[in-house]
Amino acid sequence: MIDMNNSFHIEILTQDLEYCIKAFENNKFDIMNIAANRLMENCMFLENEDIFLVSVILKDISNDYKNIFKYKEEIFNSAKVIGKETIKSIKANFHNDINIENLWQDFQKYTDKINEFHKDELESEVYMKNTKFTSIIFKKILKFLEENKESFKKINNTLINGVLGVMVRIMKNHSCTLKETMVYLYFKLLAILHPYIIEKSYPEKEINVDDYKEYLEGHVDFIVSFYLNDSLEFKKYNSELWQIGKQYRELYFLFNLPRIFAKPQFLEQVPTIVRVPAAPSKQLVENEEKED
Amino acid sequence: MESTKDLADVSWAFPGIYHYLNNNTSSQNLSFGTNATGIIDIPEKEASTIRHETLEKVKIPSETNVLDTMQVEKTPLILNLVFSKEVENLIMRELTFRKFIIEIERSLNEFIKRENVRLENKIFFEEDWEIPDYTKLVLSLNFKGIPFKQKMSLWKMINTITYGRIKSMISYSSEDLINRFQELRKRFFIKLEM
Repeated sequence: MIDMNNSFHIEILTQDLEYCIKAFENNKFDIMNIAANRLMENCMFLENEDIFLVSVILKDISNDYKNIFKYKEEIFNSAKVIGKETIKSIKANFHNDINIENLWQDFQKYTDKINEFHKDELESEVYMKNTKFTSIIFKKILKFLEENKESFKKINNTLINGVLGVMVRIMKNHSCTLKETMVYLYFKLLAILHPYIIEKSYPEKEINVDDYKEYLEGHVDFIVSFYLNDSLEFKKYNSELWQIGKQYRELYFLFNLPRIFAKPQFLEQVPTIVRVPAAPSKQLVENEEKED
Repeated sequence: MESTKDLADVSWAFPGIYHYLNNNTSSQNLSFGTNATGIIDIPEKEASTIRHETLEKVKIPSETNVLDTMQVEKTPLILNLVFSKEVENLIMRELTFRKFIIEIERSLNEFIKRENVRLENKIFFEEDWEIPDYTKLVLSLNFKGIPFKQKMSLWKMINTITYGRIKSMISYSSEDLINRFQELRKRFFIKLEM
């Protein structure tokens, strides 16, 4: 629960939120992403875990609309209604001591609806809602992740984005429940953190054991057990998400911009898979080898 | 199936719209709207004439700047579709209605890309004056600075594209959605503001 007496903190975070909303209203989704980053960073400094979740959700919404604006302009106006209503609800929640569960419910409804807009015309004609199938695939892909987590030690592995890509595809075509949405957002943030972990290891080709345990293994173990467990522990989940965000922003201060993003030839090859961020790939290793 | 009770009267919000649908006030005998709307054949000659008229071309300037070390790109939208509050609420609540609105937006974008014209628009619900409890879903269009005859031709073209897309959507929809789509099509009108 936020200490609303701490009005100085809230005033600053409110300004970040307002900037984020204005950017959305004006279709400036790059700026919205920057505003969400500012909110995230200020939450780190001010140690506010609840509003941190707001920033992660807004960052994801900005990512969605950037993609829809760029690739699905022909349905953009209809899509924007979904974001507008969701942000309105998030804002009301923000100004009312933040109820984390309601925040998640809003984001789940948003995800369910916005996925319709990520489908192409033919997908919309064919694929129907089937959350039972989504649940089966999530269990299988998380099991695969757990069995292969050691591969995270190699800097050229693409496991996080591979898993995230499957999740995004299944959620888009067959819809999902709140639990899958929570797992998706966790992976999205982990995928943002991953290139910075790789950068920290540079020029080694493997992530050292301590970093692997600190930045990756613990998060993977948590999310697998979270999904397989029947209960929804919002507080515990939020703390774990907060840890990833904190690590991401700390490494961002130390190692921005990771080499992987600085390579123009890599950027040109980043696939336009909606909702999956740029991934570390063999391309990085190949580039390094060429330079050597 | 979700309820249709959300179809509300918002005609007060958009006064002064000239009704071309289902009356004979224009010099042309128009029979668009409801089931009569269907697919309209536009003579090839008429369509091609419009294409070469001097109409306002859509230009999309793009600019970039840098904020917090990140490059920010700005590109304005081609179509700014305006929904009434009631329509937005139903888009949020009902999947079938959402799909219907998406097809209307796709149609308008297809039209704009094909004809290269700029238009203003609104989508809203309107209560019928003569039939109580009958609420129409209205797409209101406004082409500024274009002669009347050309406006009419452009309007016919939008009808053709939009109802064609709706018909196609109904043809591939599952049975549980078809009834609702057909009901929405019956209530859907395209009006031209003068």
